[in-house]
Amino acid sequence: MSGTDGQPFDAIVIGSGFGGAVATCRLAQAGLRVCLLERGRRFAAGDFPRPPMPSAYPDERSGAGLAWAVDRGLYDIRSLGAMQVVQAAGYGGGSLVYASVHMRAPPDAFEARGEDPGWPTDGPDAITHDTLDGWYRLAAHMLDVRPAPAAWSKSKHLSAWAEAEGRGGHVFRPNLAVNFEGSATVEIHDPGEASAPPGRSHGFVSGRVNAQGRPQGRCVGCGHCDLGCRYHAKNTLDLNYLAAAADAGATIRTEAEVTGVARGDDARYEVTWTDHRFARARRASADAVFVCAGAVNTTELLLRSWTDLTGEAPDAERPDHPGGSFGGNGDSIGVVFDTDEPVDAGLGPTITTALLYHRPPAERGDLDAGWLLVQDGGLPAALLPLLDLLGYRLPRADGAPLDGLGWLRALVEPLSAGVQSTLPSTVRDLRARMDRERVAWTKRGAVLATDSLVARRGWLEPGRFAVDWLARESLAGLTAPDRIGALVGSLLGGFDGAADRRAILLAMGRDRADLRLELDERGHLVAHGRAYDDHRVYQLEERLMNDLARAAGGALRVNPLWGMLRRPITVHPHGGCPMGSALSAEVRAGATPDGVVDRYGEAYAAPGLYVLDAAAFPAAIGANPSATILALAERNIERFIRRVGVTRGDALADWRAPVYAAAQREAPDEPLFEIERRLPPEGSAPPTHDPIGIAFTERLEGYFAPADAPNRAAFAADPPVDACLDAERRGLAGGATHRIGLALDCTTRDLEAMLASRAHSMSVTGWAEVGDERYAVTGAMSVLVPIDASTRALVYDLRYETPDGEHTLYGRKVIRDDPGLDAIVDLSTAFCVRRTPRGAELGVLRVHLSDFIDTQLPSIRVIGGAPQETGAPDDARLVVDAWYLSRFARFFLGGVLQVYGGRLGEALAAGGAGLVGLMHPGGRRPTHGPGSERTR
Amino acid sequence: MSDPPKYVQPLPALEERWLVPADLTTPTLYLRRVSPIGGRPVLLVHGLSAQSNTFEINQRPGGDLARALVARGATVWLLDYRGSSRPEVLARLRPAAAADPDAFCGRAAAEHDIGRAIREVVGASPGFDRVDVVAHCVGAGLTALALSLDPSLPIGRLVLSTLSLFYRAPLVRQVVIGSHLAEYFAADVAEPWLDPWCTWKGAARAYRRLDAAEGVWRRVGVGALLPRPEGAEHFLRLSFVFGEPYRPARMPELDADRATVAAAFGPLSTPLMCDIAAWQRAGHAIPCHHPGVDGFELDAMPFVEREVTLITGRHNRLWHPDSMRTMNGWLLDHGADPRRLRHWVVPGYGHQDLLWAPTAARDVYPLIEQGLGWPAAQ
Repeated sequence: MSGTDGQPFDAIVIGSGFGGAVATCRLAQAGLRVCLLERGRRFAAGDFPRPPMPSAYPDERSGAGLAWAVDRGLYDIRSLGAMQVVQAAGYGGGSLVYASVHMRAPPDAFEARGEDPGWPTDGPDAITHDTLDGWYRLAAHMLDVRPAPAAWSKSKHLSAWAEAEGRGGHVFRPNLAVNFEGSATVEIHDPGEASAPPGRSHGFVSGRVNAQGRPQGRCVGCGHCDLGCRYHAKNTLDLNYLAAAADAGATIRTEAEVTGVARGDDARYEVTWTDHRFARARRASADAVFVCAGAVNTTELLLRSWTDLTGEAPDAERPDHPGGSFGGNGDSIGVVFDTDEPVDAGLGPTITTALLYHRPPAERGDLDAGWLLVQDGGLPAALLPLLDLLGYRLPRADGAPLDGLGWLRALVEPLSAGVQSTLPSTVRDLRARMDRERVAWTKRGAVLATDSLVARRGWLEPGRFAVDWLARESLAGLTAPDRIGALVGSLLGGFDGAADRRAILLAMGRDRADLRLELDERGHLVAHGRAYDDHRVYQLEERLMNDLARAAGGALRVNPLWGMLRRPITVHPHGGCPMGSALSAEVRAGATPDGVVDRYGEAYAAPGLYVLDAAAFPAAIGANPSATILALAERNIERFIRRVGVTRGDALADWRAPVYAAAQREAPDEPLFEIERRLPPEGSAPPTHDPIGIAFTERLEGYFAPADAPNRAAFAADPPVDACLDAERRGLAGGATHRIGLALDCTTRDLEAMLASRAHSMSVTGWAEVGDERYAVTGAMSVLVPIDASTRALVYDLRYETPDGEHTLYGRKVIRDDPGLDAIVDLSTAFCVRRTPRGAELGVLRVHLSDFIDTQLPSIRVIGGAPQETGAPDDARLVVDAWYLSRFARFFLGGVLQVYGGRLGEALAAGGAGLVGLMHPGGRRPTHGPGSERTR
Repeated sequence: MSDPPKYVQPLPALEERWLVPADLTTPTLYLRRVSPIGGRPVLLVHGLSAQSNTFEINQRPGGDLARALVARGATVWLLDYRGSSRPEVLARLRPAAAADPDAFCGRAAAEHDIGRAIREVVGASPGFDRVDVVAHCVGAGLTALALSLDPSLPIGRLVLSTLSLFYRAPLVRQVVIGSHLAEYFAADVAEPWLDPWCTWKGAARAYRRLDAAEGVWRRVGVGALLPRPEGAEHFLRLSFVFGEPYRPARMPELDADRATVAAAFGPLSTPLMCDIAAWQRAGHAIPCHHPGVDGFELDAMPFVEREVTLITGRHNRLWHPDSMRTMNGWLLDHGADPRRLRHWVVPGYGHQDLLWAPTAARDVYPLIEQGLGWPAAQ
């Protein structure tokens, strides 16, 4: 029969990726009745879909079969809000499209870092590199991994660039799960990928029969790894683990999408799935369920099924409910344009070489500290023009260095000019195309709608639909890549260098898994979080890639979604059902669970339900995760099988995977560890590219007077406004000795970190003029700290040494929308308390409008980035400056607008008079004299 | 009626049989043998509105599949069933179709024509209890359906070309303006000697022009949609079957009014056309509107037990390659041995050129022969 209805199973495995393949294989080999449900289809060697390429054949230009959202194709691109995720759907899961990198996580990857709880590395059943070692060996044996035997052009180049940056010793060739062997006895059809265009070629390439008896071709270096290897040269899971599972009698159902898991009355798990071949709903039940659908889909399935499983609605506050600790393993992509030498990024396996950067933090908040890898990405030659999508280059302003307000001009003028000059032709082109394809589009939309309805069972909604559709279209494209490239190039002003002078850099690293997956009120999966509060790993990756780009003689561009919107895109999602350190027995005995699943992947809230994929990762490991998912799954499935044996009292109680012993002898070395050993104690040298920061100079002037005795206690926290104004008046009357002038240089070395942190803190240095003396000032300034829903503050915390001792100055500009148009006054007035050895004083510091316009505004500048060279800054530098200045401006103005809301808008609408009113409340020019007093 | 041109070279029939399907009273099944008894019997089943000489046509003289199999020593049988356009078959089908249109659904063709012919061939093959079958297009879908309905059918090795039990890919993906099959047929002069409505020549030319698909639409223009008299009937039928995208008014509801459909398209095998249209629109090749068929489970085991070869062209836009991919996945899911289940997606080929292309004898026939158990020629 086609279905599984009524058949009893010991276990059901959902998903055939790295976790599910291991589970299915071992359960079947142990003689248990196991059913594997995989939503995607099987891909034969020559059968992987291809992105639209310039081709004589219309179907090769269409991108059919690529997108899960459209025709249940290979790629499932999920837009989750704070994170974009690219994942695979197919028999073999992520292995079908991964770059075959098989890398162990270094021992310290399992340790707790900062606020992340890390892995359960203590007590019985600890998870550390050492306790996983045997399973790592087993996984490496099953996938038959080895380093790429030959160095391709791109790997030589990455090594050379690293060498030029003094990092030559930190480059290694990771193990790959790829077959490089070919013997004359095995031949497979040559799908003709290495020679373009594909024609009626019926040559053969040699290959081998693998340990599971499946024929494979050998790697020809066509660079299509990430698109599915049409030679079956990648040792993908369908050729090893899943082949062994099928041979051992596992029941396998592909095109079977699980829609729900529930606990039946008999305590068995009932799994509902859609049989896409027959468009029918089917059921299967089993004593145990292994959810291995990938971090995103595993979490989504459990969120949707949670009530049926546990009787409770998912609760974001409960650590044992799914959704938490979700992250993207610090994935980012960079493209280096116009390298000095041809890179030929299209030749060789997608990844062959990696550069390690590992630097422990020297101090708290060390911007140079982190663990990350940069790897040499590849893309089929035919798709290289697509990289133009990343080649954004904003127009520059007539070569003049940009100063002060100039960056606004630089942003606005050329953009509008560029749009005006390019838009008409672009629109014409698009319109002609739309006319031609209008009918096809309409029908495509109709099919899309029905497909999605079937696939999502009513989870469809327009926004999601549009995002999926856009994702699909951007992947599949509406036209050939060369056309896209030309179009984008004409809009953004692309790079004109040859396609072979482009290098792809793929970075990943240990970041914080602090996002939370939730179903929103309309039932769609979204990732919430403080939008990547800690951008450090991305920042560090970008700096290191910038170093490499400079060594290559090219210019780096990062994923525009990241570069412009700070939306990371990941191919290594993890977490969502994080592993806790509490043991199941403890939890059953009443202990509070600190995760969704225990150390063996079993859900605390649903015994018998296991999560064996990366969803169970409690923290990022940084390295390519497939080896760790495999090792963990091997470890956990053996424990499950042994427990079945103990319950039954049979030989399974001592069960071990068939090739475990052989695998222990033959395990390949992990090249990464050799590099780790070579690192000096202080770690990798920091990138020469500094983080991008912002600096500006601010002048303030104020008058202080001793505080009245009753107020001494009150201003411990906030300087009282009225008392400060009173003290200012007394200080003014007192003359020059009560005056203080401040010239402050406010700096943040890392704008992103500053914006992301809650305190928005900048460091301050400068001078204080007290009377005739000048003293050096140090301290900090917090920009737009939220006080409550309608109030923000700029907080100064300064100190300087005078001959009679240390003076501290604490001041707040309170930004609040009071009656009257008070924005400028608020922004220029700091109520202060100064503590001197003589006692506390109150006062007001003010920014004069003329100082603001003449000094502060022109002084806002970008610091850091590439080491500054003499002469005029180049285009790229101007773009970077403009970008970060606008980031800062958006932050500042955005924060201010949030407070003043509509009032500022009203003022703008009222025209000049309103604006004057905004700046001069009550029609008076603000002064720092007594006339400026206001009633609060 | 013009003479057959030189590229059609019918093999001399050594034996002809007219069979009466169980559900009809007149002999409408035409079976002919073109090579001597004694070799391994192979039955060739043609597609819809084609005829058995589908297997005897090739641009390269002597290069057709029937001859290739004869050269291999097979006893080759050619079948014309109720989907045929062979004039003498048509003459017998018309009265039967007029009397009972429902007898011309896909299930009836599968059960009563294909099954009957297979048993007849086995009966006529001393020393053999099974017959190998090579079926193309709708014939392949019907043969697969026949075996699924009757697992005891004495089929040995099975080669299905371009269509399986599944048809899932969205229609719009393959039928786009400019590449619409009907347009090609409308644009070319029909030659009634071959099919009453199209010429293989035009079709072959069309396939060669797939790369210029969008250009063809402009070249043909709307005027070409007014078909020439010879091709009118079948152009309309094709438009109907394939859901002519630009003239939706011409797509009657499938079950609404069969009389209207019959009046518009003539009596011949209209229900069969309806069936196929329904398959396509339902998304797969199961006759889903025939009484009593809805909801039945297909059985994969008859296929899993046999040696099955699935062949399609990567650029097939008549039946999307997914038809074969889905069948392949379905059979593998049910335990088919990968060594006995072959799945070829031939690059550079589409649909009809798998049989007719000048290079088919080099690229495709060896795959068919391998599926029938002959080792690859050196």
